[in-house]
Amino acid sequence: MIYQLNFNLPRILTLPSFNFTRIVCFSSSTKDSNLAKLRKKTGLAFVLCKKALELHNNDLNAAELYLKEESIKHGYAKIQKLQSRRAVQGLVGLFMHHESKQCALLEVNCETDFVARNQNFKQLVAQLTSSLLSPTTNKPSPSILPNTNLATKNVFGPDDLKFFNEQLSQAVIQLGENIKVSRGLILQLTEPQREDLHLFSYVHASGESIADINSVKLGKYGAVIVARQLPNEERKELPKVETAESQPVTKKQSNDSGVEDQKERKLTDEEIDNQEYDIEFGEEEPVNYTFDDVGKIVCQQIVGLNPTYLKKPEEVLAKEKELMKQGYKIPEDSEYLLDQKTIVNPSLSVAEFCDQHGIHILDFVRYECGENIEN
Amino acid sequence: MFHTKVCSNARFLFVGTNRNLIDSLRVVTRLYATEPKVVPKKPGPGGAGAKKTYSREKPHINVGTIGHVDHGKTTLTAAITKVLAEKKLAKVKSYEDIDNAPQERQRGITINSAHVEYSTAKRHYGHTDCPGHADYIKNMITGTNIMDGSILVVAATEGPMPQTREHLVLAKQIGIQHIVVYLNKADIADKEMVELAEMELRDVMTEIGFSGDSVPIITGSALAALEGASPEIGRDSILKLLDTIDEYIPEPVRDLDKPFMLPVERTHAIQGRGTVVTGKVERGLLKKGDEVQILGFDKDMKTTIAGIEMFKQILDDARAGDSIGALIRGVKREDVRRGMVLCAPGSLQLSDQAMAKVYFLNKEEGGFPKPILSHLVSTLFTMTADMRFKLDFLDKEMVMPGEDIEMRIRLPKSLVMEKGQRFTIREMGFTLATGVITEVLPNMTLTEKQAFMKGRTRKEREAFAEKYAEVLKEYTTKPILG
Repeated sequence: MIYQLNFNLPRILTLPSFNFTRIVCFSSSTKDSNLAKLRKKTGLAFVLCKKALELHNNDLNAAELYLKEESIKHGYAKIQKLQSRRAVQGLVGLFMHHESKQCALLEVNCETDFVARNQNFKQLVAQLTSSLLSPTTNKPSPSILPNTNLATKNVFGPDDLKFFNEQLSQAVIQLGENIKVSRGLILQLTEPQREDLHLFSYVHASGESIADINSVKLGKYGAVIVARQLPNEERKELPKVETAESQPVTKKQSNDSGVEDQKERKLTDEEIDNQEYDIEFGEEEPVNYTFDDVGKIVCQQIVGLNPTYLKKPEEVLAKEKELMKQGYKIPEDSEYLLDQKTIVNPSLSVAEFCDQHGIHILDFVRYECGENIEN
Repeated sequence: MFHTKVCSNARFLFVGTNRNLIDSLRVVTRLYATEPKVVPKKPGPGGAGAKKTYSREKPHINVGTIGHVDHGKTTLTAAITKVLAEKKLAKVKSYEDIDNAPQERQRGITINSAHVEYSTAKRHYGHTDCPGHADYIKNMITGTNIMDGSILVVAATEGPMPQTREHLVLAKQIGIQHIVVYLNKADIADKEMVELAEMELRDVMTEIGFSGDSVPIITGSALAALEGASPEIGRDSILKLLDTIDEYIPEPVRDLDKPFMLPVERTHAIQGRGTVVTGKVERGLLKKGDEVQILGFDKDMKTTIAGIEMFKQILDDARAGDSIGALIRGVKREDVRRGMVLCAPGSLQLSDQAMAKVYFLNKEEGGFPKPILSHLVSTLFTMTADMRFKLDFLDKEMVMPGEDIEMRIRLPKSLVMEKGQRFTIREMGFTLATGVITEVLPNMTLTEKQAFMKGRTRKEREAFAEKYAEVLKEYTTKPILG
């Protein structure tokens, strides 16, 4: 009752006549009440808005200021409260800085994919990813894994990424789900001035198109490769492999003649029903991939086939050779990227494909949303 | 007779005091008074394991809840079963029953939908609740659970969340036209919040494309209903919600009431009589002498039914669900084939272009284990027809198994395609995907078709070029919109 009195006080001044019953007055102006205004401005839950107004005698500006401060505190509390809830959905953000040849990858998790599709969440991930790379961000020194001499990987665990908590708390309070940053990575070329070294990336979104906010790409999977363009003299010329497309045509021809034979000896009812129409799609013209295309295809390969390692180490190769000698067959399903069959042409392995196009892959990274999270 | 039945049932009830017995006897007799036809099944040898027979007396409707995780979807479902159980129309399900067992989740079994049944005085309902967007889409595509309507649950204390938009977009995507809103947590929200939440909801719904002004919004508290507290916002609100659903969500049209359709499975030439096509009547009613249209593979013919047979007996009329043979007049055996459709004239259309929502099966479901690239040539199966076509993912280049995608279907020859029709895509011995047509597009123009078909067999290519040149000549003499 006190609250309602409070509430009506400012309105008495603005309304010309106050002869309505309370209820009519109430509903006609709910639309532009302070609660509605505050909610519109902040987008926070009604309960919070109301509490802020109550504490500040229905003063809109004071309540808004209070909410700004309070929401962070409240958000932290909410993060604590929701922390135990399972969050495996979410997005991987990928930010590629072409000039400095740097790349940032960040995984942000939430509970449902409804939130992962929400614009506010996408904005958050994009903002966090680009701020991970920006030099002004005050971030702790991460653990560095210098895999090759040519590229440096800076890996951030969930504890290193605590400095994002302020932004997270805002998002948690708005979206009402457990949101957390689970891992991040900065990939840098040690010699960015070298012309032949490149970073390629690909992001794959599940069920929707790939979002691109301020050139941060968002999706469920992200992959980056470090590649070296081979100078022409280093390129291996592979013998032209017979393309797979040429085979169905010959098959088709034999089929056609078969059908004609059958026509002569009169078809049975069933054969007529099942005979194929002469629908034949033309052979795809051989595609000339550009350097960027090749990089992207390899990234797609990584996203799609989830390799764990780049290539087989010497010992494994030696072991396999021995086993082959003994008559064992090496299974095709490979966790080594360079041994896999390419997705564009199953008759080529990735190593052959790269050789053909003059690319040498030095390293790769693959992020899949939710892959590292256990129950 | 009546007496013995009561006794046989009452045998279980000889527990507790006399008063209890009288009460339960009263319940039993009342049940008999309202539903005299239903014969209670005696427990079999297994006793408790015996199953109830499903009664078909009430029309069945599928509904589902959507909404934010904390807004009380599960509580509402539990409350509905509790309120209806008081009227013996449902079995009580606790929150834990519905909220998929956490132990199973821990063991890594993902159960992606909860299914509850209940009935009101008028109808029988199947009630679904899924955790995520992708689950709903998958259900919609595979047809496991087609929702006729949906309950959007929003907590009045928090109002619509930013992701409420996503919930409504989803509803739109999976073709739900009828939404009833339940404004939950009215026990801890005040009147102003409820009013504001209602207003915001109507705005958002109008924006997404629902009739936001007329959408029914029921305010209440599922928790109160579940706990049996304050009946005016608890129990009564649930009953009001169910009444609204009964009225607002219409019954789907029965197959029998739709225009006639029969996908052709086989054709036979019968000497002296003509051509017989066989197949199952998918919907509608067919009588001898009816005029029908035969559509499929670019062909469009009209004919009349000279006779209908089923199990070698003559039928006067065939109804949806019957497998029949139909003798058609004046159509050559060679002109009809499997995959064509017999339908009431003008009820269906041939088309060669459509938009579809497609789910790619993952490895465990028998799908392809590798990512699938756009432009793969594969086979489309729909109704009884099959046809080679190219996958067209529009702006996307690849799809991972287990994902859903919006796709364009372009066929070399036009088939009967309509909104809501299901199809399967197979290639290389795998069932790659299953999908549903969401929108039929206008047929391809000749230029598009030529680009699409570039490189058929040489014979066909030449024939097409000839025809194309002819048409072009016509076009140049009299300009037509292409």
